[in-house]
Amino acid sequence: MKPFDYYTVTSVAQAVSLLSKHRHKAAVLAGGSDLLAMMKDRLEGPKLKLPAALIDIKGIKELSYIKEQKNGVRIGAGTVLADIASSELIAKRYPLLHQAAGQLGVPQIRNVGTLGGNLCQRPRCWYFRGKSFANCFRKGGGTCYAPGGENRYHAVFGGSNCYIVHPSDLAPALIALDARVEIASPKGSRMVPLEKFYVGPDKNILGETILGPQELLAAVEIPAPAAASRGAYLKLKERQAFDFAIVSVAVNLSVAGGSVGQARIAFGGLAPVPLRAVKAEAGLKGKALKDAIAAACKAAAEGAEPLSQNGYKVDAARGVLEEALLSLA
Amino acid sequence: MSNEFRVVGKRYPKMDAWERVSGQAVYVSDIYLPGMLYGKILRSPHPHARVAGIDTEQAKALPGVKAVLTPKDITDFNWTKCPGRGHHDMPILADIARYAGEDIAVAAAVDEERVQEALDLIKVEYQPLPFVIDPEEALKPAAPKVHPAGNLVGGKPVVLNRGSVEKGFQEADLVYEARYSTPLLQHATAEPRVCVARWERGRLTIWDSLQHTFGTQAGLAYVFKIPMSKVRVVCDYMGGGFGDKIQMERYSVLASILALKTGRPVRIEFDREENFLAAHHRYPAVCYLKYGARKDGTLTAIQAKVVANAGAYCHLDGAMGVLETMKGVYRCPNLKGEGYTVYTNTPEGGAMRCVGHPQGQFAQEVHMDIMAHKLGIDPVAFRMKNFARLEDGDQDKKIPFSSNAMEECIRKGAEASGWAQKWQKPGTSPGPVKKGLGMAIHSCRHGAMALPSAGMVKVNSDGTVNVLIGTADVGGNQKSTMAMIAAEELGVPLDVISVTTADTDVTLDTGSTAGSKQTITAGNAIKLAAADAKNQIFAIAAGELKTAKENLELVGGQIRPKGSDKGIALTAVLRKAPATITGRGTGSLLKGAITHCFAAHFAEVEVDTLSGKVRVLNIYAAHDLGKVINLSGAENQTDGGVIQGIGFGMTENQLFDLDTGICVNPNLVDYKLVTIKDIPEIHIQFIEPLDPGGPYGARGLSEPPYSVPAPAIANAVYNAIGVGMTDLPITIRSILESRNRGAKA
Repeated sequence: MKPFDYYTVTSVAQAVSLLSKHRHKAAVLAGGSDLLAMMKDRLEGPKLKLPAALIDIKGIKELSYIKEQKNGVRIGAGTVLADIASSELIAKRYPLLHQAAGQLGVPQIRNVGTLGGNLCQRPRCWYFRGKSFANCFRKGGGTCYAPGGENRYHAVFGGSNCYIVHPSDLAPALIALDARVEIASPKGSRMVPLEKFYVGPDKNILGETILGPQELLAAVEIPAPAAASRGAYLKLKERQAFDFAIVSVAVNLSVAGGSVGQARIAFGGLAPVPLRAVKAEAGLKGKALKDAIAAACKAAAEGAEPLSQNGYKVDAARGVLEEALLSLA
Repeated sequence: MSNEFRVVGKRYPKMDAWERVSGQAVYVSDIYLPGMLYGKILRSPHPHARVAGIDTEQAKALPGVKAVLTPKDITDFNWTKCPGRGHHDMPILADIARYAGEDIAVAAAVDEERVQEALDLIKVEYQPLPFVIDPEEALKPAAPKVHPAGNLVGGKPVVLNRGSVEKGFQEADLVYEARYSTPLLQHATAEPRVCVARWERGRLTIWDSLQHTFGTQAGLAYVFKIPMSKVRVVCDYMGGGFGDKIQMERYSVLASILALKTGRPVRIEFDREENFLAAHHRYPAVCYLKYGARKDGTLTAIQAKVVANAGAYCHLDGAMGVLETMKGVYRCPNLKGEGYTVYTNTPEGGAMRCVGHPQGQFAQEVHMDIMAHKLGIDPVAFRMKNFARLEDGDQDKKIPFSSNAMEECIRKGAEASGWAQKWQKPGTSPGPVKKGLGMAIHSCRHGAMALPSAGMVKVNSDGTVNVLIGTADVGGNQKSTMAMIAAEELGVPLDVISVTTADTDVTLDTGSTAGSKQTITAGNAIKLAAADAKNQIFAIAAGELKTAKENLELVGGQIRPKGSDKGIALTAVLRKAPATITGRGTGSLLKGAITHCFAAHFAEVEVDTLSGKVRVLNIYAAHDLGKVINLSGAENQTDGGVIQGIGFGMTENQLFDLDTGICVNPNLVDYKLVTIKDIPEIHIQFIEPLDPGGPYGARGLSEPPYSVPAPAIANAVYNAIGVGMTDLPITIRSILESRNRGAKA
């Protein structure tokens, strides 16, 4: 590993102050399961540099909590994933988030990884992660290797110039729950819908979020569940632990009087950002769930642009959505 | 039968399990010597490139760097025909890189960071050359040449001929042809390649995590032009071999050269990525099969064309390894085989848990299942009709098997799986989540690289015993196996026995610990060595007891005439010995027969046709391994093989980007080993015919459990969805694409 400066902080104010001083040269260290692995692999590119400074936020107590509030639940970004997975409050109020957290990584990862780290992790694309593929767009280079290469796990939606998929399990779950994130900066904090937190390669080729260099993800707020709501998170993966989703789907529905009221559906593993399935949602609303499943699944896959090896992901997306909806029907 | 044995056939924990799990076992990767330097190899980033220039000045100037070597610095050393290695087409350091990851230069420095920095400072001017990754592409006339003589290893295919396949196809009611492929697979040993080399007064000691210490001793003596007595190779504990460590490799030579040049001990340890990029692996194979069978299920012809990807260097004859399964698992009077082992610009393909057989047996067993379906015959009955019988053995040379319980493996496996009640015709399972039951068989030759083996048993004056054996304990419980054989033969308790393995100064050569043969060859050597020691002890006791030595037995530490309860203590006899009692024995495979082990696996799966997910619910594994020596060890070995075999079938696949020739997944995140959550219930049955060639009737078990789960699972999936699985691994993608293909068909 290349040498770096190491700072420990105990407050969000200290963290963002150091971030605004070091800006792009600094990286935030929480669990480190992604960041340290990238540093050990000496992953660099024309515009991807190894951090010269690490700001360790594990000492910030005010970032680690799960608390119920008037309009829902608020989770600190420093909360470890195992705490989310084992939280009775989360299991009761947001079963789909409970399911997502429990399927993520392995216990070792869940014990060190944090909510913020999970939402801000870098993509798993093997061209991005491969040292030898230095000319990758996402590292500041001039090409994407995926369309002409090994692309079985790449994006089938929203690729255009870069075909990463978003690897987070919690992001689609939280987007289906209509969560917002609090972003702290030296000037104060702002709230943003999680869905808007992510940006595709057309907006930002070097990063996956709107987070500025002096900003820190501080918390996630989930609104109270609607009446008669039900949810499911299904994750399709090649092996049952320590694997990222080929496709994951988070479904959050409210059903009243035999028909679907609200519906929010988000996919992981299909696109550079966690993908809302707006057409599928629209297809469900106001209908009896059982009768609407087929059409919703068909709608969810509309507009897919598969590459040479990943057409199956479109079928897989339809399949897991169907299973998720059947489980709620 | 097992009542005859006191120790053999019972359950004993691995004798060094405590050391291993408590962290007390010293593996090679735990060895740090005073003054030791860290060696590291500079690897080519290109799949094929000429090194036009190499500048090491800056690297050499870095403080703490003690040596930087390029090909021109090592020309003094013997290498071209180095013994202990299968083929001789690989340089120690390459001036033409033939795969991405190839060894170009090497440095040694005082710590790991410094040696990495030194490598970063070496300036290499590469002239990239055209490259080829796919072996079938590499066979085309216009393909870039990996070696000047062309890409087909040996210049011509290996050919097998028995009877006439033309005649066989004429006699057939069904002739079926298909293409099959298997991926590139890693051993993924817990301990990557590692050695520590030290010179003292002209004598080289190397601690090396290798399965063949004696081959390495001969190899290093050759490299440095010194007598074998001046080379000591030691491998006490090993963190997994699986064939990755089957022979001396160039890292061992490089560490030894660096140690010689710097006058300090040198360690070279691969990181995980290096083990993916620059160690050998299970080579991918493509099989084109055309088989003929009569209506009653009798096979009339087996025709196979195999293309094996050798990678950049030829470790072994890969295509022949695959063809062996077509040659001998089934009886068939007409056989034609054609094997192409092909150079490509990928890392070297080589030995891994049953060379070639898993690739070939996957193809053959899927082929057999589809034929059974087309013939309207139950897959179990189809195998029963055709498996090679005891007398079949080597069907070309007309040599029988030493023993053979395949029939019982198939029958008992089928019973355990509930075949008669559960099995339905392929594609008939209703609903979106389909159930499937499938089977596969395998028979596997023991004794790849078999050499006569020698062992020693030393009986100390206090009655305790040292077993000295050249076998490496590669994780297959070899230490316990040898101890149990010695205990059984001597008549002493197991806990008085210590075992020293794989040290060229102390033990005797037993060949490479490979080919599932050490239980037979080294086991026979230890059994005879123990018998020899006992004979010497009884000769002394016979004088004391005034009886014939043949009339004596050793029971509970007492030597006494058989049937008598009056004797003398073993220790009292040992005190009268003129010198320490040392028994010697040599062992080999049985002559006049070929020794195989046999297996039938049955897999039960559930295929979710909406999402493409396959769940393996149960594996029923029936193995004929002759007499079981250690029941716990044999069960562990079977569990481990099945688990690794499920990875072969369902998740593992090392991939190369065809545009750049670079591996995209050289790590354990993207190269997917199965996890505990993917492992089904494994139901094991052992069938134990007493083999005439092994100690107490034993044979071996290391490799076979790996070879059968993948085709059994493939056939279970075929059974569930009605589409044959022709390519491994069977992933979500393969299920969904097959489903769509099946829907169109």
